[in-house]
Amino acid sequence: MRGDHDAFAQLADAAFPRLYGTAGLILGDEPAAQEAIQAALIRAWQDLPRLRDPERFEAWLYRIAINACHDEGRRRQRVRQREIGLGAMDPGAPNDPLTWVADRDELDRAFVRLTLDQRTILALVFYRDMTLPQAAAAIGAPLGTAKSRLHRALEALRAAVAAEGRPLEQEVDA
Amino acid sequence: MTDHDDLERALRAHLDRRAPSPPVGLLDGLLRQTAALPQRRVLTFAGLAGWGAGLAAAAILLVAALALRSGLPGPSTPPGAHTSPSASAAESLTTITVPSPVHEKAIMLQAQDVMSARLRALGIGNFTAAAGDDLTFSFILPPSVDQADVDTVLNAPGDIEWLAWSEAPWPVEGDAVREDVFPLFDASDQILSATVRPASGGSPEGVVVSLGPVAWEAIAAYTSAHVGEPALPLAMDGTVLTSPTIHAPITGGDIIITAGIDGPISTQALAAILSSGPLPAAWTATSEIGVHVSCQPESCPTGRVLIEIGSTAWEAQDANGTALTLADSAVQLRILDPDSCTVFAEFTAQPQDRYVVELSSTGPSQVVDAVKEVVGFPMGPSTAPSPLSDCPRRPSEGSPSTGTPFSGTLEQLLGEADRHLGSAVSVTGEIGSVAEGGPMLTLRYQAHPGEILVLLDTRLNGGVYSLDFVVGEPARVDGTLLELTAENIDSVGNPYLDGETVVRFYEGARYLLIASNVSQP
Repeated sequence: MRGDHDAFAQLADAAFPRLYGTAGLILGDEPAAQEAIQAALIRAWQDLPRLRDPERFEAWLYRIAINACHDEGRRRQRVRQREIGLGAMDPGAPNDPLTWVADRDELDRAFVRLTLDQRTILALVFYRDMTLPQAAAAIGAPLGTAKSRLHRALEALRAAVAAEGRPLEQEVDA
Repeated sequence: MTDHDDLERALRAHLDRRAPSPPVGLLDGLLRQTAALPQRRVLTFAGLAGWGAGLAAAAILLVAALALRSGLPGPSTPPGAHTSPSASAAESLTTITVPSPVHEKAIMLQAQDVMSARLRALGIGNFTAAAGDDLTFSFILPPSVDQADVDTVLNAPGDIEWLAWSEAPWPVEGDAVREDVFPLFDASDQILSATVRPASGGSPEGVVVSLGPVAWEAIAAYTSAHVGEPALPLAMDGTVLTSPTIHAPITGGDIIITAGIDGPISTQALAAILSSGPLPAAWTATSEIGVHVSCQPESCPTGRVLIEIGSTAWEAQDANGTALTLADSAVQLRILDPDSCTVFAEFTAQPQDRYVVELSSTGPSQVVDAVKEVVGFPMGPSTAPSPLSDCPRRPSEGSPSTGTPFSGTLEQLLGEADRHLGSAVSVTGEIGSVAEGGPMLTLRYQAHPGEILVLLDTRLNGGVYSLDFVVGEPARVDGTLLELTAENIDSVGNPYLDGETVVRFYEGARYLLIASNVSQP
């Protein structure tokens, strides 16, 4: 048991920073992300004996965490509760030019306007650098669905950026 | 640099900046929390090998018996290389084990449902399915079904894509799907039906696919812009199956797939996969899934298996079916309330009610101990009285010493069950006996006028028999559980999981289930 937990702690430690970041991006709310990650780690530990292939630990952990994020997202939506995180969600870069800060805020607002599913697939692919099959496994959807969802999410993001009133080219070229 | 690339580049940089970093000490705190929590046990049967196949065979024979009496087509000789001239081979049993890449209950059951739907779509209506370490399907291969199609539908992830392949080089059959080509719509929720269209009047055999409105909206707009191009290929599992040229805008009707599918996949298998949907993603993430036939028809005549129920050679079969029946029955018995002696009023066997345990086939000698193990029973004879012993019982319930019990061979039982089907039958199961060095499941049944059948399920439903195995058509049967009682069984709080219950089986435990309002939705 002790050995199991030491091994679990080692694996969790390696995955934790990116896992936490992914949850934060999906939920857009750090207290919510902490809740989800806490639930995910507890679930992972309790179900660890059911993991047949230790090599798949991280993929398995992400799947649990994504489910926990969605549960947490639904729960917070249901109770109409929004906690304002006091932590530094976006520390930014102090030397950024003002124009870039403005563009970044546009992309930020556009990202927040996406659905939970859309933020999830984008976070997995563009933040966690998962391949599409890996992302599909993490969200528990067929590969075709994951591809379709990614495509739609990018379209929605593009539309949301446009709705913020600034062409994309200006944003990235700034 | 395209606009597409710009967005992805900007997004990647943005997410890297915006993602929060975990507070210092958070993980340590969470790990301290988990260290104090117990883990869920992986329940393991030992010593049950061979028993499950016996009951699976019994289920097949029940199917055969009922089909013959009701005039429904019964099982017959498998085709091709599996054909055997002997009478026993005509009823031979095929057991296929599909190794599971995951051991997550929900995923395994989802995969089982998809595979079951595919088998039914192929024309195999009568089969048993069990989920243990792996998924196991037992059936008699109808002559109209090709074994290769069975292997295909149990192996293929079945991820279908109609691709918006809008520029040259155009794809041809067998090409891999390029990563930058996206599906035009999400096929997993837009395929309404898929059936085989026989060849006729010069038209080749094909698959007729009915699509939903979202798909049609996308297809209509897309094909209008790509007339004359092979711009809407169909792909499965990352490989292009067919890439017909768009001759005119396609705005409605059905899609008929004909070209390119007689090579890598038959029309029958493709229709079965299209109509049943893809396997769960976590399942398909591991591509090294192989289907293993553990009992070839020639080597596994059902007559022999039937005779050997309870003493089938241990090494010959795995035990998933029976072990799971017992385990799931045990789990279902959680509904017994020792305080009120009542059960919940409404009970239908839903997928989430089912239960998955790990099985191993290590030896024949400890079946009772194995059952005790899976239900958390301490080893050794119990001297504790059952908390259910004071529950009032119907005159004919719970014991073969009351009422007018019938006890006989399984064959007799099944015949009687057929005769009483739809009127009044209940079944008790007794575990714990050992015969000829192996475990024995003794079935008894008693009739109750006005009540309707519940049979022991050889699948996973723990007492509620699914008549879709009987009538040869995919029809689920649900019923209202009127009463469920037991002898030498009690339920206790699960010491490992708060709010959950396990069931203890004592030596010679019996259980009885009665249901009514059986219906086929």
